[in-house]
Amino acid sequence: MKSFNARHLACLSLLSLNLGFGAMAFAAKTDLDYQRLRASLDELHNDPTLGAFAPAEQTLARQAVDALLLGGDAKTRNHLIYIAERRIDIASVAAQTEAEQAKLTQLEHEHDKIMLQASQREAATARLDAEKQRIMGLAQAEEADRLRAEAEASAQEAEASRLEVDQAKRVAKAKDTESTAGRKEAELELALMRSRLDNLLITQGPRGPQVRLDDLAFSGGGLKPDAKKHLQKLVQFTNQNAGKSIRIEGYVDNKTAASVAQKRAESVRDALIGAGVAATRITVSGMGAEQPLVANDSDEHRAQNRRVVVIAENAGG
Amino acid sequence: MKHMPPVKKILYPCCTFLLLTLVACEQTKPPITDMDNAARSLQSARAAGAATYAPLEIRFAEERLNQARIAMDKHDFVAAQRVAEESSVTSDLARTKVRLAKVREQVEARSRENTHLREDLLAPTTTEEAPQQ
Repeated sequence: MKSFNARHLACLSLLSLNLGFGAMAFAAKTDLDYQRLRASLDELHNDPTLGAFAPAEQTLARQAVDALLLGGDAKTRNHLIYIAERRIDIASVAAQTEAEQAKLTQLEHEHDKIMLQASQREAATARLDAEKQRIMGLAQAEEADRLRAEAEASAQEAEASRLEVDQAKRVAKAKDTESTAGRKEAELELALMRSRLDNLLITQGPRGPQVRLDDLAFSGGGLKPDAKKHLQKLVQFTNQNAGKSIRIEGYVDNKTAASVAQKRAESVRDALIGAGVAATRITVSGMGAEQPLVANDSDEHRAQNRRVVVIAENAGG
Repeated sequence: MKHMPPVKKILYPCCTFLLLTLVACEQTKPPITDMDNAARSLQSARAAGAATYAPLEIRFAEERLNQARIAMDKHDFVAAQRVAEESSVTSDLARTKVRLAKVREQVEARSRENTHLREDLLAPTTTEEAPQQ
């Protein structure tokens, strides 16, 4: 009986020992799972990048892991382990998601910055283009001004030259008019001279018939070449008075040298000799400013006093 | 025990039985809320695109929801509640993975776009060099 009791006791103690070991083994298994899950949770929590993200999910995961400590049967334990593992996975993925979200936000900021820089650069380029256009415009305006100034200058030049030409024309015209006038005057004088020479007026002087040659027929101290061609009347006068001696007297005004009177008288003599009048018949006398016809008070009067008188002297006169 | 009155002798076992029955009743109540949560979580994960981005997780979630339904049919409410909870948390994981995948896609797209923009808009252009020439 005693031995039975002892054997019984040994069996019981073995059984209890087995049960104790089993409980210990179970506790050890739970502890291992707990530590494994706890470790991975701590790893996430201490991660320098992800640790700060998804705090709510991390808390849920921690609660799920801590639930393992409450114990339970094998099925419950497996269930709790499964839940804890998924919770840790969720915390990890959520943390990664939040990290990516932060990266995305940063990229958005970067994008905005790029767009801003691009628009600033575009504005700068536009400003540069505008400046270029402005400078080109200025250059074009300057060129246009220059061309216009040149055109104006050449127009002015043309105007000036036109004026000059006009002036020259006017001067030429004036000169022409002048010369025409002069020529006309000279022609007139010449015509008058010719007329006078051709229609010599024979007057009866105190010493016999006489003719007078005007100042018009003379130039300086002698007959004009044209006058020499119109001395037929004078020659005719001398021939009409063939028997008479011919006295040629030269007169001048009070402002002309007396020698001029002498020279003029001699030039008439020479002309008559040239025309065939006998030189022996002719006497010449320079009378100077004597016996003026009119007072020497004007150019016209003085011209009247400058004359050569040819006298067919009466015999004994 | 011998000093115990007879009424009490009957009362203690009765109370204990009642308590146990109540506890048992509590445990055998069908986990309607957990089942609903699991179904809703799975639906939400599917709608988010989990079939594409987290196919493995969505399959596990579906399997566990099916197991929960089978357990419900067998009136094994404890098992049903556990598996439904597991399905639910797996669906949550799937949905979280979908979010991560989508954000990563956005990050990649934005990163590529920024690189292109930088090349296109901020690269040293010839117009800046032109005046120097």
